[in-house]
Amino acid sequence: MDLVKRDWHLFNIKGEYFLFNSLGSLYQLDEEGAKAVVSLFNGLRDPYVSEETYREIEEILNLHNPIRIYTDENLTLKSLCINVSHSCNMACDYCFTRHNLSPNESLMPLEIAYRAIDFLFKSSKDIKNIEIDFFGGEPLLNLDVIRKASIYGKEKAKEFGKHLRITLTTNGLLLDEKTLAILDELEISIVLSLDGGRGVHNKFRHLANGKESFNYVLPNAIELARRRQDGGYYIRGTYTAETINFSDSFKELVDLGFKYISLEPVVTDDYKISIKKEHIPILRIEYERIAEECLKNDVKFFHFELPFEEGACLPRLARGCGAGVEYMAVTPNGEIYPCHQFVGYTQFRLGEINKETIDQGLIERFIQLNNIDSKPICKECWARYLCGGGCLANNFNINQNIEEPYRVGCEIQKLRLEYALWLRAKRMEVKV
Amino acid sequence: MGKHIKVIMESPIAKSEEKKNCQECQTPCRSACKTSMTVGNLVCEVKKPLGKWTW
Repeated sequence: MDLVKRDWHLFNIKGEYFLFNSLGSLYQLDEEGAKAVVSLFNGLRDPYVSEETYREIEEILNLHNPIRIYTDENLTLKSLCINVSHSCNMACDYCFTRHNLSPNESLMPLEIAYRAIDFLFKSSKDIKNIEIDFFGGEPLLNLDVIRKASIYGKEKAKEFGKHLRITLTTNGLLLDEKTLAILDELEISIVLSLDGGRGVHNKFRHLANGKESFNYVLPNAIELARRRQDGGYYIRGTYTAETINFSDSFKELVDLGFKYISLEPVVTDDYKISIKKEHIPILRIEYERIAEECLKNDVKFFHFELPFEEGACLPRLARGCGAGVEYMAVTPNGEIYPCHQFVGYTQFRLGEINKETIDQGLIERFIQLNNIDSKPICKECWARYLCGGGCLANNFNINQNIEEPYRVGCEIQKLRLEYALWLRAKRMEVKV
Repeated sequence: MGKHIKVIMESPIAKSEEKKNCQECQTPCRSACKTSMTVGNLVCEVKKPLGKWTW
């Protein structure tokens, strides 16, 4: 009886043992069951564990025979990040786009936005569900282009029998009622950056003139949540080494009335605020507190909302984020990059929207990188089919190598998955 | 299931016959400046088409 670590993960949360199979099955074990699993991981049999326990484990192993995964080589672009602005009205300390931001106004002309949408429609071929995401800088500095490009995209979707989803990521400063009404009408999902309560938010998120931003952002965020009680928004915050107790921020956001929340670790080489290996035990406590809060309240923490039974098929789970293949980003002047995080790094420039020429060699490289089996570390990881192999841009930013996983990010991802699984178990009120 | 192991969920994909991805689901952008979506967050468009909002 083989229990292979790459396919099975035993973990303990709050004194309870769980066994997870990489394909998505979850079991709760008593202490003897956990001892049996540990012995099998070591290729042994524990003489103090009964044969009956080993038989039970054998039963679940028989349900999980190795599956051959067929990777689909005919991938097409279906999601486009449109950077409608490389200007910003804020100056957050940890912003990764700062090297791209222009001191002068740098907004995407409408014609380039139209050509970007044409590029998406043409490249997506027969795929019915396609997406655009307005990003920046601060995209709302270019609201008129967002509005006209969305209308153009929706009309084109109708014409070609496609379903176009639109998202916008904003700092919330310009999200007044008039703007919200436009975005509501166009059914644009919104990701709004708010790091937590006043103190945490103001620590890093400053206005362009250096002043605090919380008082300007909060009323707009509250109005957004009031209008979209059925979803359509996520409040996303960034936590850093200096704001590591982010479960407090989560509670503050819940108390402010937000139901859809996502808190993300900062990814930076700034030693002072970067998340390091030694922070992992603290993060475990923080994620545990958030999971407990989600159990008590009707609130969605993005990383714990895994659809499982309604989730993606195995061929999809065996692939990564799609950067450079299914997902690309366009800059205000029409340059194409594998994703919004690679913008400005010319070695990853794929082409130009006006020239319709794409660097096929670079695309082939990204196709390869999107295959989990191409990465030795990912291939051996129990979390591979829930993770997808991590963020290639993070690999580049931290390790200067897109092929080398950002290991702290891997640990954070695994922690989040454990608590997502624990929450799933608790929501089902399973008792052994 | 037994005395020592309780089933919480059994993977539908463990018995799946699907060999090819229809590519109709979203792209899971892992970037933290959005929401760090992962393949685990993906909803299958065939099993449950998404509503008017993206997630």
